Formats: sequence, C-alpha cells, structure tokens
Amino acid sequence: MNRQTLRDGWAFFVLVTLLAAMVLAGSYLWLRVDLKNEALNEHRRRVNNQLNLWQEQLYDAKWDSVADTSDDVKHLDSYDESRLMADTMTWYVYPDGHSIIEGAAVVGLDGQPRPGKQAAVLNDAGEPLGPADLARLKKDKPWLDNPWLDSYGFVIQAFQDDPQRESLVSPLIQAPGRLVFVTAAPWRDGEGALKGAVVQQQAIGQLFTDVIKPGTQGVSFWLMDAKGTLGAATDPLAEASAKAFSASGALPQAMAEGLRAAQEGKFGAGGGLVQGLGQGTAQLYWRTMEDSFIVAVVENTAGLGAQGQRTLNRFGAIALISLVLLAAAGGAYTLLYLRRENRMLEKAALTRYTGTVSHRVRNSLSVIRGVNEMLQHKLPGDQGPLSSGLVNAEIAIEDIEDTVRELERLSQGQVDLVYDGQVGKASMYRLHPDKKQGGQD
Amino acid sequence: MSLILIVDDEPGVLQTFGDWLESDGYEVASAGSAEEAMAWFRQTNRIPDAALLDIKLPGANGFELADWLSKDFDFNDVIFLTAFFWEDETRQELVARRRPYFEKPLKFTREVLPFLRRYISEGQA
Repeated sequence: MNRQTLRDGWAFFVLVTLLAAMVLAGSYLWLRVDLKNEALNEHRRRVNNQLNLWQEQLYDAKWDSVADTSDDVKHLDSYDESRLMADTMTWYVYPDGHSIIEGAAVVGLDGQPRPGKQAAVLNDAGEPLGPADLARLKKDKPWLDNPWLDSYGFVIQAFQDDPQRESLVSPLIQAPGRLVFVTAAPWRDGEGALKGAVVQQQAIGQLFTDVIKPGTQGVSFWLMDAKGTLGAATDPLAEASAKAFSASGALPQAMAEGLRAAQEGKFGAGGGLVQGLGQGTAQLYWRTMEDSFIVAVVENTAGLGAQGQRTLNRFGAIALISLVLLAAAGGAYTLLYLRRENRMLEKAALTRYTGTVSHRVRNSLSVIRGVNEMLQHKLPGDQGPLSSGLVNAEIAIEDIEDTVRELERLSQGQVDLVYDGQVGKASMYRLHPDKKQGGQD
Repeated sequence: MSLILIVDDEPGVLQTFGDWLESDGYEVASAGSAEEAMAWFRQTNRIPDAALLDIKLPGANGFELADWLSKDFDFNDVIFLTAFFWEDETRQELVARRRPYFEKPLKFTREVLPFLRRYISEGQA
C-alpha cells in the first residue's frame, strides 16, 4: 500500500477521534459545572426550606406556651390552681403520658412553684398515669414526677425588672440529666404589682427529638440558645460547627438580627457562612427563632453537589464508552477504507499499465500487419501454403487485436471480468455481459 | 508525385508505413516527434498533400502539432493515427475536430491506402 495513503488514512482517523474526544471532554466539563451548580442550588433550596420549617416550629412551640401561660394567668383567680395547671397540661400530653412540656406551675415571688404545680404524670384526659406507664416513662426520665428547678427566681426577677414585660423565654438551663427552658407569663394584680408567674418547663432534648430530629436525616444539625449553650448537635461536625460559631462572636450578631426581625413581625433572622473546621471547610446555614434560639445545618463543602457529581461520573463513563466505541468503529472504517483505497490504487495502476500495453501492442501489430499485408500484396499468383499462412497470420493479428480491445474495455470499467471455470477457446474468464456499455467490438 | 508526411514515434510504424506509401507511388517524409515535423516544415519550405499524425507523441502531441501547422503554415490536411481511440478524451477530441483518423493497428490495403488515394485525388477533403 502507498505509504502516504496509509499515513493520511490513519491521521484522519486520529484527527476525527481527537475531535470527538474534545467534544465529549468539553461537554463533560460544561456539565460538570452545570450539574454541580444545579445540584448545589437544589440542595441549598431544600436546606433553606427545612430551616424555615424548623424556625417556624420553634416559634410555634414558644408562642403556644406563652399563650397558654398568659391564658392561665387570666383564670388563676377564678379556677382551682391545680386543676387549671392539669387542664393546661392535657393539651401537651399524649395518651401514654409522653409530653414535650415537663410541667406547668404558678411560681410565687419566692421563686418556688406553688402546690398546684403539675408535672407530666397524667394522660391526655387529665387522669393520673398508671404505675406501669409511670415506671416506663421514668426509665428514661427519672425526673418525670419532680422536674422542677431549684428556683424560678430568675423568672420573678425578669418580670420585676421590667414591669411591662408580658412574657419570658429563658435560655437553656442545666437540670439533672437534661437541658430545659422555661416560658412564663407574669401574674400581676389590678395595680400592676407582681404576684408571681405562670411557667411551663420544656426539655430541649425532648423538643428536638419530637419536632426537629425527623427532619435532620442526612444532615448535620445543631441548636443553641442566645447564651451559646448547645441544646442539640446531631454529630461531631455539627458540634464542632456550633462551638466555632459561638467562639467566633457571630452568635450575638445573629441574635441581634433575630431581635430586629422579630420586631418586624418575622419568625427570626437567617444567614450562612463558610467555616474552617477540623473536618475541613464547611458551609453553615442558620436561622434564629426571634432572639431566643438558633438552629443551623452544616456540611462539608466536599460533599456538596454530590448527586450532580454522581450523575457527572455516569456521564463520564458513558462518554468514555462512546469514545471507545467511536474509535473502534473509526478504526474499522479506516481499515476498510485503506483496503478499498489500496484496491483502487491497484486498479488505477492496472488501468495505466493496460493502456501502455495496448499502445505498444497496437503499434507492433501495425508493423506486423503492414509487413503481412505487404507480403500478401506482393506475392505473385497462388503460392499455396505461404499464401494461406499469411491469411492465418492476419487472423491471428485480428485475434490479438480483439484481446487488446477487451483489455481496454476492462481498464475503462466498461465490463467486468467473470471467472466461470471454462477451459475453452482462449481464457477461463469471460466478460460479464450485463456491464457492456458500448465500446468497440 | 504526391508528398505525404508521417509523424510517429515508433520507428517500426514509420518504416512500414513509409514502405507501403512509397510502393503505392507517394513521396514520403517522416518525423519522430511534433518538433521534428515543425522543423521539417520550416527547413524544406514544402507543403505535403497530407500529413499522418500519431496522437501520442513525446513532447507535444498530435493535436497540438495539428494546431501549430494550421496556425503557422495554414496547413489543415491532417489525418490522425491513434492507438488510444478507447480513451474517452482522445475519442471525444477526434470527433470534435472532424478530421479523418485511423485506429492502430492500421489496415493498409483495406482502409488506409484506398482512403489516401481518394483523399488526394479529390484534392483534399
């Protein structure tokens, strides 16, 4: 095969394969950015939606409690105090006694719960829990029948400090075995003098487990109060993030924004930041519930856009397989092309050679025929065998002439040569009759 | 005596053809190429009664030689000889020029000589 043809053929194959590879690589890079960003944006939307939901749930939890304590205050003078507290508690407990609220009580000016206090030891009908339910619940919450803090003086103090104050949500307070917070409404006489406060006490761990945790599957979540006390953290990454957030001084700023948002009638403030943690760089999204609590979701930036990356990897694999198949098909085609090219080159060379042979034979025949005709013409009278020999020579010349014409028609592609195994007159080949397109006979 | 110029690069053809023409009573001049033929025209200052031109020649071909002769000497009594009538280009050119032609191998007694006698006696076609 012509070396140049071979080189050109394979160069073309390599070029086409490279171009295809470039197109696929370009698509891959473009999709890499696009998919990752798209997946990231989708992920952020979901995280933000979930945070908004948690923010609202905390807000509802606070204001349900505040509204109930305020309502209780209004009825304190006309109802039995213990019955009032029990009735309030029935709104929060399940039939088995399970409850987010640990207890409701009226606190005196001495900071101590009054005898009408009600712990979560009743069911949703207001009936005392049976010994079995009580024993079961006390396995996890041994403080169940006595959840009270040593003193609620901080509640009284807050309402005394601010006579206009209508409610209180405390920061997280360490109680035996758990963190709690207290919501309260002031109990004042007609002159506005403080007589005490109605309080509800909630365990933040229980609130997290019942309300927030179901939505934290697959994310790192933390919850903190305004003083930086960590109420919940789903994993070490969340814990590290919360500590870093508190240590960075961002907490007071977030709470200030939360207060401003609350004054504008919103649930709270929100934002995000990048944290450098021991586990790597992390993206933090946070929401405050007014200026009381902050909830946040944190995740390693390396894990962001993971779904897009997986899709991208699949595309990359498909692209690679496509490229290999394309290259294989291109290689096979190039081989066939080169083989055909080789045959065409052979045919072209044969055509040229046939033309040369034809030229030479025709000229030689001209000479032989000229001599033959001359001899016949000059031969006086009947010369017997010589005369017939010259006639035979002329027949032979015409036969050669016919063969030359066949070669010429073959070289012009006017006819095909068919092998038919015939052992006959002159050749085992014959011209294919279907391809006769004129020419000379 | 009529003068005929033969131009062919095959010495055997020149010799055989020349012998035939001379035996038929013609004066024969021969050339092995177009350039030789042009030189013959210039040097002898003679105009033949007919010129038999092979088409495939070394250097300029028979068609180009015919064009030169027509242009430089106003000579148009050319008869073409060819072993390439089977080639499309050659065949089309021959037909387009509307000049007599013979396909090699030449049939002297049956075709060429009778035609030449008629051609020259009729004072060129």
